[in-house]
Amino acid sequence: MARLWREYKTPDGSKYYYNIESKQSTRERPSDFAEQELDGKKRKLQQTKVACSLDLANNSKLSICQDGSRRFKLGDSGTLQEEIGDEESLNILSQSDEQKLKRLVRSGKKKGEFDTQVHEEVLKHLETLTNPPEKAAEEKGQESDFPSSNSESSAEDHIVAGYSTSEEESDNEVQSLDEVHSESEAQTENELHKENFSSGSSSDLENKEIFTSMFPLYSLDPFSTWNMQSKKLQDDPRFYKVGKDSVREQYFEEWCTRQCNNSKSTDDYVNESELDSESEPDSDRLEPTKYHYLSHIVSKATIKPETLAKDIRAEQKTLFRQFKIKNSLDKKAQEAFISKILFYYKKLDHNQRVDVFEKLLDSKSRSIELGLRHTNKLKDMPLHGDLPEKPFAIETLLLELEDCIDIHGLNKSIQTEVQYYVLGIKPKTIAMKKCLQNYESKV
Amino acid sequence: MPRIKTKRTKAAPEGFDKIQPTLADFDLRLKEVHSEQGSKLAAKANEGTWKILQLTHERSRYIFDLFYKRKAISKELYEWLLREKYADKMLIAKWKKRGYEKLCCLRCIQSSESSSEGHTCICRVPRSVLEKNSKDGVVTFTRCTHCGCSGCASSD
Repeated sequence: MARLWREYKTPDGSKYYYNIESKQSTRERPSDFAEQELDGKKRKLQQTKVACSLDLANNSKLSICQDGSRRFKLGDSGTLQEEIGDEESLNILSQSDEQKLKRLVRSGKKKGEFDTQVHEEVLKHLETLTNPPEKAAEEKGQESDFPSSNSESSAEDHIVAGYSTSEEESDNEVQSLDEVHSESEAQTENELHKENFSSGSSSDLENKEIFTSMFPLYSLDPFSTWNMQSKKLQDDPRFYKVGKDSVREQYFEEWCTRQCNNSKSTDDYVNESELDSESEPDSDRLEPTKYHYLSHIVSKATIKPETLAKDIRAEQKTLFRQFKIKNSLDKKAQEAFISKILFYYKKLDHNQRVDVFEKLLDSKSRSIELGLRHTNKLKDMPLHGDLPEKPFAIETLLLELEDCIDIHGLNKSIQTEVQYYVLGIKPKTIAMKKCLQNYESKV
Repeated sequence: MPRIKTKRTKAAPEGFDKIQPTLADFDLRLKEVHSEQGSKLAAKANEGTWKILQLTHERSRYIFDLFYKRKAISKELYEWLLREKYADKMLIAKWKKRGYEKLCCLRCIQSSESSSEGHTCICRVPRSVLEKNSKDGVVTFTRCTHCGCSGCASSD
């Protein structure tokens, strides 16, 4: 039903009222104008279709309309109001997820595409909010009944007060409300965009995969620039899966690094395997341990209680030169090692040193067992027999034994132990043999 | 510009053949830019060198990326490229410094030579600062006069 009374303004700004049916016009406010106004507003409120409604406390409901606004349904009155005075409901509202509500509002706006998933989520959330404090709510029920009715009336008062003003003003109000809504919507949209950005990382990954899968297809050069290579791709629709050119470039760079490193590492791998296959049959390639020669030199030297590291260096100059110790160890490391080992030579006699050595191997027995390899080779070696006579043969035997316990790989830590070097080559080989015999019997 | 090859230039180290097509492409683009006719307007007097500077910057960045980011070329090749002036050694030295990761050209940080009263170039100022200092949030700066850089602060 159209409103009978309309409010207009005269050119000088004063208001007058005009009845469209009786074609009457007055400067005084007609008595039935306000009622009409209210009726009209109510209709307006109800005209906006409710997209969904959520239960709050005390029978009141939060309805989300299709125009994106929120209205509250109080009790059984069935009228929609813009505000709610009920404290409990407000509490629930403040606790509920504002983000999700906003999303609901947004989905409510799109007619027909209502987001039921979000709706369910919000409903569940509200249920958990309302249910646990049920007892408290019941206790409060009697108390809260009174204020709720009070608030109802106050809300109605508010509405009456709000809409009993002239049409123009109320229009302004509606406009401002709309503005607020649109602002909040803009905000929610922004937030949603952000969410999309973060939650869309999975799709981003997919896009990245699709995007990078193009590179080998178009046989891009990993040694080139994105600026040049992108020209090859530009006609492909997959090229536009990734929106920003900077992101595309980043992906390309990543792909290039991977590509370059791959080719390098495969080269390295090939080289290593070649080296391995070359070195294995050749016993000359057996690598001595870190301080192998140095300990050998010390064992040859004459050691008095007052001997220092530099004395040994002065005494065994030729040996130092012969074994090219300078190449593998710098002066400081040499001195540090010699002074450490001198302690053992000065304080302990030969048998004690053998004990120290065996103890070390015992303590490392676990890892030695793990590192044991070339077992068949071990069996071939003259473990039970006497030592070979030539010192060179003894040394090779020792190196082979060391190789068998994988001293350059798994048992690298042994190499750095000082106790490992407290014996000369010959006694060391004997002790080593003894030790390995145990393992061999286990194997 | 790379050095002219003579009998005395050392042969390129291994791996040069992989990047040669790209460098040739850069050369071609540089030639195209050279043959372009510049504007005769006095207002555009500075713009003649912009494209050349941009290209050399791009090539330097390319070689920088090859060695430091992609790790695709050996150190020997990298040093050879620097010696043959395929890349600007001085500019790359700046890129390794914090705050200079995106520096456009060396002239823009040369405070003593610049025309703007002994300050560094405006393209070094972050965009956010430019926006903050402008009256109405609109930045009027588009390109600097030295190399046509539109902003090379690390935060941009």
